[in-house]
Amino acid sequence: MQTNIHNIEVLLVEDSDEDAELVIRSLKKHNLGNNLVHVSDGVEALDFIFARGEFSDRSVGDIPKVILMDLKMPKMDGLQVLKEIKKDDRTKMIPVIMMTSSKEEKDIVDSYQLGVNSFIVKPVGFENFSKAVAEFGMYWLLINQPPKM
Amino acid sequence: MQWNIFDIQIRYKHKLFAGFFIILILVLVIFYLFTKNNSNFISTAKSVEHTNEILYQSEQIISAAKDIETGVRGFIINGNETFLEPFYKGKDNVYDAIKKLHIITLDNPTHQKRIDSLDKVIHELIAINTKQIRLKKASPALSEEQFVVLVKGQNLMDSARHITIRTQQEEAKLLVGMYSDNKQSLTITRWLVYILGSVIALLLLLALYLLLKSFNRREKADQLIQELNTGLEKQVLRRTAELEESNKELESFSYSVSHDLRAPLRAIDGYTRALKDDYGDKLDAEGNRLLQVVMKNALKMGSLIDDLLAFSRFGKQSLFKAPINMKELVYGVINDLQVVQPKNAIRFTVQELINVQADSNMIRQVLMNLISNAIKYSGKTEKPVIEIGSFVEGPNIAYYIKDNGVGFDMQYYDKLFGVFQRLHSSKEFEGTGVGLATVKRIITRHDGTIRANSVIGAGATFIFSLPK
Repeated sequence: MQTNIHNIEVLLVEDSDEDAELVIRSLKKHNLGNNLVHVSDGVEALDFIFARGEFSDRSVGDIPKVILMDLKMPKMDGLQVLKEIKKDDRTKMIPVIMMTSSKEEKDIVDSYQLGVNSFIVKPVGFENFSKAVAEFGMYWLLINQPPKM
Repeated sequence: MQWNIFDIQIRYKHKLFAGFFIILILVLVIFYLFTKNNSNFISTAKSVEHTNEILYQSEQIISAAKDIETGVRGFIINGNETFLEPFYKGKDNVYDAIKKLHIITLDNPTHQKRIDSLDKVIHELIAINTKQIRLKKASPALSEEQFVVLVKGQNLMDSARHITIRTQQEEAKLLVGMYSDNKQSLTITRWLVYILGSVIALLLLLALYLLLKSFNRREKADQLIQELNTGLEKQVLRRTAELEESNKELESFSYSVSHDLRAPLRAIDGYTRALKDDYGDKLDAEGNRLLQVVMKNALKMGSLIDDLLAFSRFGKQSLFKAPINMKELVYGVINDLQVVQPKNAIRFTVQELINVQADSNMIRQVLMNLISNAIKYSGKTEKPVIEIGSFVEGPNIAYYIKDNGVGFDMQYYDKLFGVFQRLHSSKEFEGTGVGLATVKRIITRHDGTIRANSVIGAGATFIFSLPK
C-alpha cells in the first residue's frame, strides 16, 4: 500500500482485504493506480476525503482522481459515504465507482440517485472483475478529463 | 356451528310459515261466518217485516169488516143514512186489504187457502149487509127477516175474525220458529268465533315467541360471527406480520447470500488465478490443471448462487404486467445467447408469435432459460434446429420451444421442474438444476402452466401457456 497520502490517484474503500488486494492487483496489471490509498471502511474514507482525524495533515482540496468503493461495509456503507461526498461542493466532482457483489436493483437505483458515476457488479470470476475494474480505471484515470477546480 | 344455525333457521321459517298460514285460514273462516250471519240477520229482518205486513193487513181486514158491521147497525138503529158512511169506506178498504194480503202471501199456500175463504166470508158479509140496508130502506121497523140477516152477519163476522186470528197465529208461530232457528245458529256462530279467536290468539302468541326466539338466536349468531371475525382478523394480522417478518428475513438472507457467499468464492478464484499468473511457470502441467479445477468450481458455485438468487427473487418479486412484443423479446434473447454461446450453427425458426400481457422481465428470464437449455442440449447434435412458436389454447396463449437435441427420459418427468433436479450429469452437460424450477415458478406466478415432452435422442419440446 502506498504511504504517500498526497496527490493520490485512486482511493480504494473496501472492507475485504482480499477483494482490495485483487483490485489493486488488476489495476497494477494494467499500469493503473500507482498512487493508491486503501481504507477499510466508510468512516475512514470520509476522514481521508475531508482530511480529518488520522488524515488531518492532508488538504481537502487535494482530491483523488477516482474513488473505487464497496457498497456494503461495516459502520458506514458506501451509499452514506457517497451522499457525504456528493453533498459537499469541494468533493462532489470526484468520480465515484461503486462496487457491489449483488445485482440488487435497489442498490443500483439508490447509487445512481445519489450521483454515482459508475457501477460495477463484482462477479465471482475474477477475470471478468479484473477486466471491468481495468476498463473503468482506464476511463476515469486516463481518458476522462476532470474539470479544473 | 354454522350448519346448525342455518338448519335452525330453516326449521323456524317453516314453523312460522305454517303458523301464519293457519291463522290466515282461521281469519277467513271467521270472516265467512260473520258474512253468513249477517245475511241471516237481514233475511230474518225481512221475514219479520213480512209477518208484520201480514198482521197489519189482517188487522185492516178485521177493522174494515167492523166498520161495515158498525155502519150497517147504526143505520138499522136510527135509519140515518150518514151512518152508512163507514160501511162504504169499509167495503173499499176490505177489498183493498184482501188484495194486498193475497199478494204478500203468495209464497204460503195455507195462507192463500185461508185468504180465499176469508174473501168468500167477506163477500157474503157485504152481501148480507147490503141486503140488510135494502130491507131497512124498505121497512124501517125490524122485521123477522132483518133479524135473521143480522144474526147471519154476526156469524160471518165471527168467522172472518176467526180466520184472521188463525192466520195471525200461524204467522206468529212461523216467526217464533225462525227466531229460535236464528238464535241457535247465532249461538253456534258465537261459540265458533270464540274458539277460533282463541286459537288465533294462541297461534299469534306462539308465532311471536318463535320470532323472538329466532331473533335472539340470530343476535347470538351475529355476535358469534363478529367475535369469530375479530379473532380471524387478529389472526390474519398476526400471520401477515409473521409472513412479513419471514419475508424480510428471507430477503436479508438472500442479500447476505449474494454478498457474503460470493466474497470468499471471489477470493478463491482470484487468488488461484494470481497463483497461476505468478507461479504458474513453477508448477507442472498437473499443478496447473489442479488450479484450473479450483477456479472452475468456484465459478460453478458462483453461478449456482446466482441461479438460486434468481429463483428466490422471481418468487417474491411483484408482477408488473404489460403488453409484451413476444417476437422482439425472443429475438433479443436469441441474440444475447448467441453472443454468449457463439457455438455451432444452430438454426432458429421463429414462427408467428402472439403477444401477451405479462411481466416482461420475468418472461425474458423464462425464454432465456428455455432457449439456453435448448442450445445447451443441442450441443452434440449435428444439425441443431430450434423452433419457437405459439398457438391459442382455450383461454390461454401457449408458447413452445422445440429442439432436436438429446432430450430427456419421460420416466423422470416429475423431477423435471424441481429445484436442484438434473436429468443429465454435469459431465454431459453443465447446469445447476435451478433453471427450470425458476421457469416454473415464474409461469405459476402468472397463473399459467408449463409442460414438456421428449423422446430420448430426438429432442424436447417445452410448452408454457399464459392467460390472455
